[in-house]
Amino acid sequence: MNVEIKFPSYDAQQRTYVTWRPVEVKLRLLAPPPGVANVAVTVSAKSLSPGGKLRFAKTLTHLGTPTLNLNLPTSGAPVSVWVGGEFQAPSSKYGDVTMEVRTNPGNQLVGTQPTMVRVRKNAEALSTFERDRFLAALATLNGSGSGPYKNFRDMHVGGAPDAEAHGGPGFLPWHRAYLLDFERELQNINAEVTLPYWRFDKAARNLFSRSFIGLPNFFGQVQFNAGHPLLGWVAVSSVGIQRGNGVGPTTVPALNSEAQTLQPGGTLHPNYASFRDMQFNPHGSAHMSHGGGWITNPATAPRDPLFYMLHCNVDRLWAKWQWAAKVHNPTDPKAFTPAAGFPAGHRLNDALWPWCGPLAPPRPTTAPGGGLAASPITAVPGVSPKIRDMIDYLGTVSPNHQAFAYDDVPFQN
Amino acid sequence: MDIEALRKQYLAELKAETAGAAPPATSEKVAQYAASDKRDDGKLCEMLASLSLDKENYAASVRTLLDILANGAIGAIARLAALRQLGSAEFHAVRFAPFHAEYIALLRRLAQDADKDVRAAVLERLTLTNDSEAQKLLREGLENVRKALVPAAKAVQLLARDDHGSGMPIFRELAAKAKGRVREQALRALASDPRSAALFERIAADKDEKTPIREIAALNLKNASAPRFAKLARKLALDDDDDDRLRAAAVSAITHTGEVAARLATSRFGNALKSVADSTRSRALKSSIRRFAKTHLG
Repeated sequence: MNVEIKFPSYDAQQRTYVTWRPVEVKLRLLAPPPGVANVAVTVSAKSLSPGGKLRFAKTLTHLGTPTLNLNLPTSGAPVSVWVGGEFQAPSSKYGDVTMEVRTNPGNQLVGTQPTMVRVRKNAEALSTFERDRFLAALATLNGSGSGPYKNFRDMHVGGAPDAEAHGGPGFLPWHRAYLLDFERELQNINAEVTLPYWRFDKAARNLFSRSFIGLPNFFGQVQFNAGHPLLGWVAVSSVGIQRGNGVGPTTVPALNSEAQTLQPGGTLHPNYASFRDMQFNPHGSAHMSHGGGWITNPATAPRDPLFYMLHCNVDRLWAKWQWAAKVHNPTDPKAFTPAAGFPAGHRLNDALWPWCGPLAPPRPTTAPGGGLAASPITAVPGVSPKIRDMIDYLGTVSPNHQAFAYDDVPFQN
Repeated sequence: MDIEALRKQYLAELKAETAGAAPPATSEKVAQYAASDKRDDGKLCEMLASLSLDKENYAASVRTLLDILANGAIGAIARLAALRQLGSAEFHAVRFAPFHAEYIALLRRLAQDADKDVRAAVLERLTLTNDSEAQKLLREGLENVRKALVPAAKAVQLLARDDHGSGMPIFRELAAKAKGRVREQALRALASDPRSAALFERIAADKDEKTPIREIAALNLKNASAPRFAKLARKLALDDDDDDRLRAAAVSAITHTGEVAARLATSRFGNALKSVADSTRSRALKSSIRRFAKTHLG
């Protein structure tokens, strides 16, 4: 007797990934014993140390437990179990946690499914292995400066496209889609990679080192250790990365902290309309904290790979506010700015440029084109996301999730 | 874990940290303080850092920042803080649009400011947007047509940002003839110049050149001509008498550049690299080879 464990989706290597947000997994008895209607089993997880941990429930909930007892019909009819990562117990590599099904009683192992609790982590806390895996994927994405990374540089440029990315309330949803597209391209190179975030209101000794994102010299030329994957980084026309030396290993940039961003003056931002002013502080302040270099201008910032980690933290702050204020429903007027008075690309039901295509007026024409990268794990937000699609990224109120989460922002329904 | 209890605890922590915090500085107070006889530039910097750029305060704040940046009587440290805040404000192109023309005109004027730090910072901002006036000033400084506004190496670095490559003839000349950091920056500026491929090959192969210069030349060749780089990188990687840092850079560049790896990822090359890894004492070279093997040889 065996139990078939069927997750909702697998990649080409038949691997499956989870976040904090549970997914519906179907269990089915294969070659069941004769003469009984049901077989009692216990679902649990076996973790390496360190490794991810899983939680199980009979419904979609954040209240899952480490084990779950179920009766599986010998008719072969499937039974649902909701499986998600245990908050604050993420994986560091594929297979460091395995879902197991055992008979109860008997404790006989009748089904297994390795997985990975794959979430975005603080860059400062990455293991050496996780850091190097991320850097290698970044370097490969950029190649000789003309690889897929170039598309992301060309999307986030000055002039008319800047109005799409920065010109209104679409700022946060646009960048959420942009980061997701970017992360999925990295995952096409190495599926275990997630985008780390730079917690810019804290010192980041590990991140700002020659073995991670590099340290600028007095000249604003970023230095790396020998053999570093980003050593041959090319963006547009020069080799290397230009970044001012305003942020070093012990620098705490002078900008709004996480608490000041979410709850200025002791009161949580009541709605998105007020929260989105974080576009200037801490977002703009984080860009400018470096004092100079590519990252200090919207048109050139994506040439520096640190840019993606900066924006990942901006997105994390939005996600954290959404959780703290319980505003995930796109139809909730607190979750996004009401539609009036904004140009295309900044209203709830607008499709986001450039993924929406065609690249024609009145939208800018300068992007490379093409849809948002697909994920083998989830069908959303699709190739042409709308602003409303980017709000409930975790599937808190909607039936789908976008297969990313932050290490310190839980799923809660 | 009780997620709702965690949320309430988080909200309480936010409240404890932010309750009673000083409100952001207003543009009116900053402007008054900047005009005061008893002004302290350090304190002015602190006020500028907390200046609100919220929708309601945006226009007044930008006005104040422009005025402080333009005021040569205020210390450079505070003017540079104003410039940084203007940089934050620029991240909302639509709101900044009414000020953009005035801002650029001011920056162009300040490119020749008496203070060298202001000049450098302003040229830094202008060159990020391909400003032709700033490029002209830098080019003329390098050609000795006018007094240089920033050190030559910095001028090369900033001029290299020109997407149209207006400085390429100067960079080629400096890469061949200049010394030290000027030459280093000129080489960096030629990163994708196919006309300089032969120069890159020569410098990268020349053991009398300093390693950082050879490294830049080698990595430039990767961008200018992948086939020529593949040949060079193979030689560098397998040369036990060459510098280990350079060899590690070559292996790393092979690993992460698909068109180069496609030429070299053979079991023969892999075996040769394995011998290198077994014999070298360089951790960087060993780890570069390990990454190559894992990525391309399975």
